[in-house]
Amino acid sequence: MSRARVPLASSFLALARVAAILLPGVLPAGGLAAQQDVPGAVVIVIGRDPVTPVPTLTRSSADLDVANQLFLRLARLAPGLRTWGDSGFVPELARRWSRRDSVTLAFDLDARARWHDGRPVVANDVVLTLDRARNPATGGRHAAQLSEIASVKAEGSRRVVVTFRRSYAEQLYDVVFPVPPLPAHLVGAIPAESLEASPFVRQPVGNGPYRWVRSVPGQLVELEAVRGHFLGTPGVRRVVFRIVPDADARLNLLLSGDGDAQEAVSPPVANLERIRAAGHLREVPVASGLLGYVLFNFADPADSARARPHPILGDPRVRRALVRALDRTRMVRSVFGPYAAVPEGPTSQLWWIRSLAPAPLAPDTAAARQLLADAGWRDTDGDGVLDRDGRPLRLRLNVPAPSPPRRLIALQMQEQLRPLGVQLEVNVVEGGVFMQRRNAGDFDLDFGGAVQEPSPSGIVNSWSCANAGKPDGNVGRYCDPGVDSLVSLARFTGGDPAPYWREALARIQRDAPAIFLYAPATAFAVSTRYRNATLRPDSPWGDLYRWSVDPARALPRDRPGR
Amino acid sequence: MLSRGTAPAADVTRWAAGRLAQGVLTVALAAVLAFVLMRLAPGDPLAALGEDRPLTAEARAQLEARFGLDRPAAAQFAAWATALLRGDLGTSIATGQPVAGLLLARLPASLLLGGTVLLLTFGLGIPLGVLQARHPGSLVDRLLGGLSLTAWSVPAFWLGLVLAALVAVRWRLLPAAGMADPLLDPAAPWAVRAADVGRHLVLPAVTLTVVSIAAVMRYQRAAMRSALALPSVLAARARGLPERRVVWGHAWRNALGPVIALLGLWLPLLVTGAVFVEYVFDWPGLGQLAAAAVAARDYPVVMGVTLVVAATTVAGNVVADLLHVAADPRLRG
Amino acid sequence: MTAGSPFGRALCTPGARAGLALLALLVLAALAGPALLPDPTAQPDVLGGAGLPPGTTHPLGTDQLSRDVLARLVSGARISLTVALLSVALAVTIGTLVGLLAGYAGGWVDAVLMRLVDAALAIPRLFLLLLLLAAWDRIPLWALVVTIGATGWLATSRVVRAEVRRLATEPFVLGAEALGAGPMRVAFRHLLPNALGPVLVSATLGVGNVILLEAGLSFLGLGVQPPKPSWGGMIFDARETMHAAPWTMLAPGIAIAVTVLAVNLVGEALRRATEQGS
Repeated sequence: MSRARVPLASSFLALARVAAILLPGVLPAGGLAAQQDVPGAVVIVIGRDPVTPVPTLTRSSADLDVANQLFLRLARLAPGLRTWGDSGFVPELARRWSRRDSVTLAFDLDARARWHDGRPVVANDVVLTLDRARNPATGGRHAAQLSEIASVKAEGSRRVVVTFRRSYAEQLYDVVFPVPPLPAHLVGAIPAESLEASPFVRQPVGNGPYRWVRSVPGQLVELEAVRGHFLGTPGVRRVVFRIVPDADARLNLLLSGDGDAQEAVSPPVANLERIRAAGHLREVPVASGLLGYVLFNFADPADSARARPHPILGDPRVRRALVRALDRTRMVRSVFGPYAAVPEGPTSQLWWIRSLAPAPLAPDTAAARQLLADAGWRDTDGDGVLDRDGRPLRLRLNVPAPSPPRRLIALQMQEQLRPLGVQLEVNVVEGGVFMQRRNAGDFDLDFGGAVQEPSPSGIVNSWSCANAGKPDGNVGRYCDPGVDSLVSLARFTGGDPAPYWREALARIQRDAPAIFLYAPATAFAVSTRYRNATLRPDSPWGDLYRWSVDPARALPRDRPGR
Repeated sequence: MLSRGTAPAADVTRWAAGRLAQGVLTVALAAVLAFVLMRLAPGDPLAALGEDRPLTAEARAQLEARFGLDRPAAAQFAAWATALLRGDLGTSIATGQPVAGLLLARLPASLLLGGTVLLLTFGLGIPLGVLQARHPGSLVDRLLGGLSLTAWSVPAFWLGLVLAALVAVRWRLLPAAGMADPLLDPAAPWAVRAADVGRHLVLPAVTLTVVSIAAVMRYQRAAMRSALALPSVLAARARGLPERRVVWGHAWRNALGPVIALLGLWLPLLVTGAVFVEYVFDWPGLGQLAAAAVAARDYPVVMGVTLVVAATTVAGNVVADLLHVAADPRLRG
Repeated sequence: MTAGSPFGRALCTPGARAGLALLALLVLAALAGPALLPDPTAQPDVLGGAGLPPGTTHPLGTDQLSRDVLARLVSGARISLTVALLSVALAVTIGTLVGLLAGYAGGWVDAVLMRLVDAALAIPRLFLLLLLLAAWDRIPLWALVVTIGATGWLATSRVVRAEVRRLATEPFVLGAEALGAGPMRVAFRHLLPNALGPVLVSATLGVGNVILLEAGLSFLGLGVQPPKPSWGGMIFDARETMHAAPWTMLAPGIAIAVTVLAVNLVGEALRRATEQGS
């Protein structure tokens, strides 16, 4: 059998050579001119289909990856990612903005900005988009965040005036970041609730440096550069997002040279070593919104009303003991390698408030044992598992199957907790089942993962009393009114919000609502043949229009025949 | 195989109508079975949409209404079946695309891979099996039998992973994944595009052929051995006919039945035989679509694939019966 | 046609002997091995001792959580073989009973049963398994066995039915009926023993299939639950490290291939025996 493979492979090699001979035939006659001006292409390998790559509808990272190329924001975040105040932003669609008073902001649109169908970007586009996004009935996931906006008005065709219900720290952020403008002349006729099923979503018309060409579901999305775009003509003319669900197959494509860049190379660390060893790739760490944590259920999953406190985890001493028992740094380093970082509190690397969090507690098994003993847990029957009133200290940890980092860390937790007499049952379940259990509050421990947006006000959704028990909200039912009021102060103070955030994070550490495990930088992989290939934390491929291909290292796909 | 194929020629129409009715019933039952199983399995079809970014209650309610998930299961099935009668397979929850379009987009890849594998397994397996049968117990027979049985025992996805790691990644001889170079100009000459697809096809096709060829070889070897002992074949040889004509002209014709039956039974593999291998090589076929849809509880897609597969299976059985009758001189008699 | 002697002779062929010897070795290793080897779930040093190549302390190296690959292989053998044997036993029992019932009762019982079998056969087994396994929180071993068994009997039932229908017109069956034997007696005393030949063959070959199937399910993340080692689970875990630590992938893959080969060698010999016997 192995013998049969050789001639087969070599005959296809021969075919490939035929192709290589044929290909130059369809290219424009090369020469020095072509040498200097390489059209360039980039194949970005991603894990899933962009389903709704349109602002107000974006849900997944894949949606955002594509939407961010098609649609510009009024302004983007400056590198510090400081979301409060008016100074941490860089103009994009808005040439400038000014503050009229503490509740009024005015934006002037760049006159050069055009939709891909040639129409200018006008104030009415912004009005329509923000009005839709902040309407709770049609707004999608940003409606709650934008609820402080009182009105959005056009003054002429290029000026937008936004008024707010009250003064707060993230007014400018709320206008410019979450929802980029949609073209009112195309979208206005489509009712908001039927936008998702409309042809516009399948053939979006944006204003960004790249325009939509085509998509083949499950395989690829192709974009092409907009010549003469006001931000500059992109140096790489074609962008193909290639969809490959399997993590190994993704990496293989990159290593074999068929792909040029990959978002978030999946752990383990060995994959990074392969990227480094490949020679034609480099790894680029990018701060990410990724946050991994094991959530404690404050309610008893055996009680269908979820009114009774959890029989084991209701006791803060047990929660703290579990946090202290684990060597989090060790676990996270074994999975994420050099990019590991253990957060103290629900703060990913995108949140500027992470520097205000208390230092993570060092692992201390003696202290953990003491806490458990104080809470009344002893091994009375000698089976190696602690018990109290006849109930063993056994906890069920739900882990989603598609996530290798969470699976690997869960297995380590199980081993680290065993000597303490804590029996952890690791349930690896399919993604859909995992989410259903999570939203129903049907778990003891839940290995959650979140991708945070840059604004720390996201803390309200996942950790406030008001959202306790809401699906996709605070599913662990943690509730500390003290934290809620501190967060509220931080968000609505006229002055520096930092002290309030610091106190809120310290309280969360004391309450121990979860074991916060990782908030890593994610490692991207990019071919070394690109010049100026920078990546941004707020929108990883946001600088793609500045990339170009090194002519000396151009591949056939950088010079397509046409 | 459970041959109803001995029907007299006059009753062929009635037989065909009966098989057709039976086939429709089978497919309908399979659809009901798949729907019931899906409803019994827990899981949230909207979960995958959020991907770590929470859906708001409003967005969730909107999506549930759009896909009819807020209605009772029986009503959902009724709605699905009614739409089906109008030729509408519904819309995928995970991708928002029409199911019919998704299936049609995936079908060519599945047919290409499955067809190539069938061609290779039968094209190579039949002569090898005949070769074995002509020299039973010889070194060649034992070597071929041992090798093919060993290959048969290897998990296909494991072989695929190893081949991808060696051939595609280490030696860079062939593409690691996918069915075509996405950057190849769609207007490129036909030959260039075909060569590109061909290069992508090699590894998955070879993987599947290696692990499945043993079945064809064994069927062919057994059938051929009994055929070589038939009086008519012995007589042909006694008449002094050239060996080639004895083997292929007389014996092989008699040994074709079981192999052809196997071909019919393998027809459904054209559609879903390659789930794991499709995963490993990211081959955009129906198997991968189906497995992902089951995992994501994308009900409309699962139902669509079930229909296609069930229909292919039924058709495969009918084709097997027909071919069996056509190939076996005794049944044609 | 008595089943005993040709089968006995079949097992003396060189192929079958090699297969049986391999299986005996595997069973021995699975029984005795765990006592001699380190704890297959222990993670001695996740940072320094992960992905170690084969050496004196770890004959087959360590995996990405620093667990001993040989220890996991051997205790995985226990689980993989148990699942395969039990689920095939279950499948064969159900398949035989249904086939016997359909074939002997005939009429509408036969029609209904076979239509249902057809419908279930028309859905790929993998889909059935994916849907059925999804119902479990933490798939216990017995549930895995039951689920694999419950989806594996369809083909057996058709084989048995065909065999029973053929036998039902044989003189010895008609004779027994004429002598007043009840339907249960005819089915279990006369039909069943004579239909067992093909059943035994399909069972042996089924064991190999189930080992491959369990590996495939684990490859998709369903199947034996961690930290219990199973061969498919080991391949699933090794996917991410197969390039940095190829032994984590090669060891379970080769173990599966060798085991399935051994079982198939025995099954092949048995099949030859039935072909020659009839």
